[in-house]
Amino acid sequence: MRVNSWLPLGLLAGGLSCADPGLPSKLERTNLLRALIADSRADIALVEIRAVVVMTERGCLPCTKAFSKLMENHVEDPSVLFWVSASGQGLDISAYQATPTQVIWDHDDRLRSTGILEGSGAILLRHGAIDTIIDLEARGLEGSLQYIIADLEKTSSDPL
Amino acid sequence: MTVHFGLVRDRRSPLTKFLVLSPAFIAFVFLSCSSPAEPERPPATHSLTFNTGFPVKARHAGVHTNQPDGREFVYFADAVTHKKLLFFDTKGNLVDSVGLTAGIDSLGEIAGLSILSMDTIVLSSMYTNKVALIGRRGNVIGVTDLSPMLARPDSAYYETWASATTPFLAGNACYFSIALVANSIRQEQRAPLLNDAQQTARYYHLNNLSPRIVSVTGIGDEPQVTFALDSFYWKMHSGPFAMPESGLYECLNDLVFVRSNYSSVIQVLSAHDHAAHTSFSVASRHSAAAISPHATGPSAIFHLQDSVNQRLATGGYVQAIRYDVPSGHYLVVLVHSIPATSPAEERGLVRPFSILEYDSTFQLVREHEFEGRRHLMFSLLCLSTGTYIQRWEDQRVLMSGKHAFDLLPLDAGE
Repeated sequence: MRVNSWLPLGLLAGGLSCADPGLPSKLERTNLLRALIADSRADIALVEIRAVVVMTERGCLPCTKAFSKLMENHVEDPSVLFWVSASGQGLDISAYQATPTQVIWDHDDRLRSTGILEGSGAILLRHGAIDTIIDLEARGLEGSLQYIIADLEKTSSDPL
Repeated sequence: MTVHFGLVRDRRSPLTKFLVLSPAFIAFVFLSCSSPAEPERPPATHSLTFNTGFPVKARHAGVHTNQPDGREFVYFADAVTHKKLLFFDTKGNLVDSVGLTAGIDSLGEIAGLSILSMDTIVLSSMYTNKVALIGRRGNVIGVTDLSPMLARPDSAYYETWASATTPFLAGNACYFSIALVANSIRQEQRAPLLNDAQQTARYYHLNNLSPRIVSVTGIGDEPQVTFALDSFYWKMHSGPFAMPESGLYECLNDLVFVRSNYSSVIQVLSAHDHAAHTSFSVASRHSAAAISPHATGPSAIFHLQDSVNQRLATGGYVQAIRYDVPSGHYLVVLVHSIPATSPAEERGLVRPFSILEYDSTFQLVREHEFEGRRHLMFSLLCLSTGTYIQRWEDQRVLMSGKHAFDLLPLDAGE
């Protein structure tokens, strides 16, 4: 009886929250990301971050190497957070080890387990909320890299 | 079957090998040859620990025996992040450190690493077909570009891949597996591109008919290449079959063991004449020893990589081959197949595995079964006192840089 009475409400909520019930919504992803970051670095507020740059050794490693080389220029940018889930066997992580202020080390693949991002890429944020998620793949790599770089350059002068 | 080779380890001094590889650098080897005494073998300890400060990789780890005194050193290199090569004694004490930065600057990216002597290290590059010799201080002695020797009459060319699990030196030569380059920044060297199914099928077909191995002698002097195992894949499965593999070979005792994930048969080349001498088939009580091959066609071609990854995640295949010094047996590491429907956490290299012992005539002696998640099946150190296998490491332990190896219980029998 109780189940039946709640069923229409449940269906309505499910229908409104997102089209694909298998994927978390942008808001849910933002909350997951906020919780993950707070768990590792309580001093970092998501609203102060323009991008979370994710480096892993999964997927297309040459793509990540190229991405990492580009992103090393931002390793001291306080509005870019580096989320590194790599051992250094495939990807050169010396720049992140040398400048650890903006780096979160994820040895347990916690970000991947949230489903926000499977491999390397970038999570672009606006006003503390996820705006765009870019999953790096060999196909379309050049366009993805250009998009990320352009976004970081474009927003560098914007207020957070 | 009688096999008249490979029973004796290479007894030629590094000087002899080095003279063939690079006569210009004799002085370096003289510096490393001081004590002629043969040390007594200490009893094997049950475990060894090496504090490298970085994660270790089977391809860049091994045992080097100094000649002529016979002292053994264990080495580990990190050619990506820390960019150095470390030598340890067999008790785990750090003996020497060699910087790899100059070598990386010369090659772009280091793929393979082999120790000729502690004063002469041979490096191979990733993607660019280069080989470099570096000295004990990390200084580059010389670089050789093999690309001109790897061009085909049809203008396409081969790319070299160093062994994924062992050094790439055997006898007086460097050995590499080769694959036809699919795409090149040099337009004239391009094989058919991957954006067209028919063209891609043609590329795989050409690969199937290509030689599998190239040996290079005279590095640093006048390099010469010899191709071996012609039409390797075609002979394995004649028909439309694809997916060239990289680095699936091992250099052990002046023999080169060439394998494929698609076949349980291992080809054995003699490093003396670069010709195939024999082959043997791997058979396990616990698992298949090869994944099924692909029939490629225009509809299947774009899903090939995913399909191969799925098959490797659950299928049984040979992971590595090593030589156990005390027994004189070859060790074939075989990852066990599991049902294709197994959950993600049970797939990949966390699976159980077997180590199959083969004698010097490649007859199976016994099979040892190991549980998953206890040891890294592909990371083995073959010392004169016994073979050690790296203890399982999650990423946190891996990053700590302290690595433990346990003595393989090969005497325990089945």
